[in-house]
Amino acid sequence: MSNLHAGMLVAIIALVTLLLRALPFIVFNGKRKTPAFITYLSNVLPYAIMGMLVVYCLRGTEIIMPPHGIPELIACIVVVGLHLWKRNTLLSIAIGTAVYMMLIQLVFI
Amino acid sequence: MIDRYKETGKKKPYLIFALTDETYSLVCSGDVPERVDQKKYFFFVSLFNQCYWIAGSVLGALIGSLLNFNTAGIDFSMTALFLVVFVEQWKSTSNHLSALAGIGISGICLLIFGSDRFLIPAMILITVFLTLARRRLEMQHADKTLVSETEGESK
Repeated sequence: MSNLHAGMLVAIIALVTLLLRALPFIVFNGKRKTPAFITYLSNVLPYAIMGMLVVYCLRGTEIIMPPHGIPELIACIVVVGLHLWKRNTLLSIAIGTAVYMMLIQLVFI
Repeated sequence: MIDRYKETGKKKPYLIFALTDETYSLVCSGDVPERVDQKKYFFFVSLFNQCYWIAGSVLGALIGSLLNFNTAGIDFSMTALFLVVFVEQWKSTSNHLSALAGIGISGICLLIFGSDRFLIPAMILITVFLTLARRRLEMQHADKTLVSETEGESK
């Protein structure tokens, strides 16, 4: 792949991403009142989307073969537990990630 | 997000540009402190996120090959971020139907369509589900607003 080819690919990806991101804001601009259905979705969708993103992050977890997703499970429990306890975002992420890294590098090799 | 970003004026094009997954999760979960201007909060969350992103990418490119410890598993930090936001959102509401639907529907779609193709069916089914559950969810929402309004009056 030449530099030009790569550059053009990046440009197209950037343009499409930007257009998709701006589309809802262009369609429902400030002049009209946002339809009640859209407002409803914007109220309830974040909860579902965050659940979906968690599933998305864990999509590659190996359940059937060893280690059967045990490192992921333990690390997730640590993150949720620590966060319920201390409620400190950075702490939960840092300790959770460290635990996961230790588990897959040292325990479940 | 549309209503949240409605009054942002000149900052709006940039806010839309910078609305990544991470920015989105912070903007929709972040309880903006009362003394902080909401528009500024959105703007700086977006800006700092972009700066961290660029700085991280540059740093990674420059010194990534020099790191001599094993970084395997460091990508779990993204999972951890989304989990933390999920927990925060879970605690912010008494109705967990939407959150459970997000996990459940995505999980089922993952099993059916496989890890490379489940995202779009999952998004469609979540939207369909929430559309069908609208009456139920909105009634609960209305009850909650009523409660918080009466609480506000009694203060």
